[in-house]
Amino acid sequence: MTPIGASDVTLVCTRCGVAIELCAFCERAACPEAICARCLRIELGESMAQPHAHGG
Amino acid sequence: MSPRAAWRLEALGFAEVHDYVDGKLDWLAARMLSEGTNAERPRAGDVARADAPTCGLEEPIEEVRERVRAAGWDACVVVTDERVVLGLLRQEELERPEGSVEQVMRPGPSTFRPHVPIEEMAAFMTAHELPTSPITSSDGRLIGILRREDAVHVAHQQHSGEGEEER
Repeated sequence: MTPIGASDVTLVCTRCGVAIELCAFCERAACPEAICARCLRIELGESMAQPHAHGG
Repeated sequence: MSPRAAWRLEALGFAEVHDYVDGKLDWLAARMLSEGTNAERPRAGDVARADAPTCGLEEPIEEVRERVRAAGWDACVVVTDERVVLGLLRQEELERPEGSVEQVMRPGPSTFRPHVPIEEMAAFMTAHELPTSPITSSDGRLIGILRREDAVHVAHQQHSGEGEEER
C-alpha cells in the first residue's frame, strides 16, 4: 500500500546517494549526473563541507 | 572573518577592524576585493552577460517571446523591479502559445553565485547539457545569464594560458 502523496522517487544523488526528486543543477528528473542541493553547494564552493565529524 | 579573528587583529594593534557578518563566501559572492593565487581566475560573474533579457510576472508570454528572440536569446529571467529573480523562461516555456509569464515560468530556478570558478561552471553545464544558468548575488538579484559556450570558451582560454605558463 502506498501512502497518500508519496511519489516514486528513483533519482539519487551521484555523489552521496540521497534520494532526490530533481537534479539541483539542471532541475531535470531524468539526469544521469544528478546531484543533490547540498553536494552541489559544496562542489561549487557555495558552502563548506562539515570540517569535523563531531560538528566542530 | 570570524568575530574571534577580528578581535585578535584588534589585539595585535590594527586600528580599524570590521567583522563582515555574512562571512567570506558572501564577501566573494558580492565581488569584493580579494587577493591570493585564485583571485585572478575568471569566475561565473565575470563571464555572465548582464544584458540578458528580463521580464515581469504580468507580461504576456507572446510579447516576451518576441522580444527575447529578437535579441538572439533562448532564455529570459523573470525579475522584480529590484532585479530579484522570481523565475526563468527557457526555450520550453517560451514556446507556450499563450498566458502570462507567471503562469508559464519555472518558479524559483536554480541560480549560481558569481564567485564560482568558470571551469567548474563550464564542466557542470557541459555534463548536464544546460545551455544557460542565471547568476545572482547572495540577496537573489540577477547579475546576468551565463551561457555555456561563453563558459567553455573562457575555461578553455584559462586552461591554455596556464599550459603556456608552465612551459
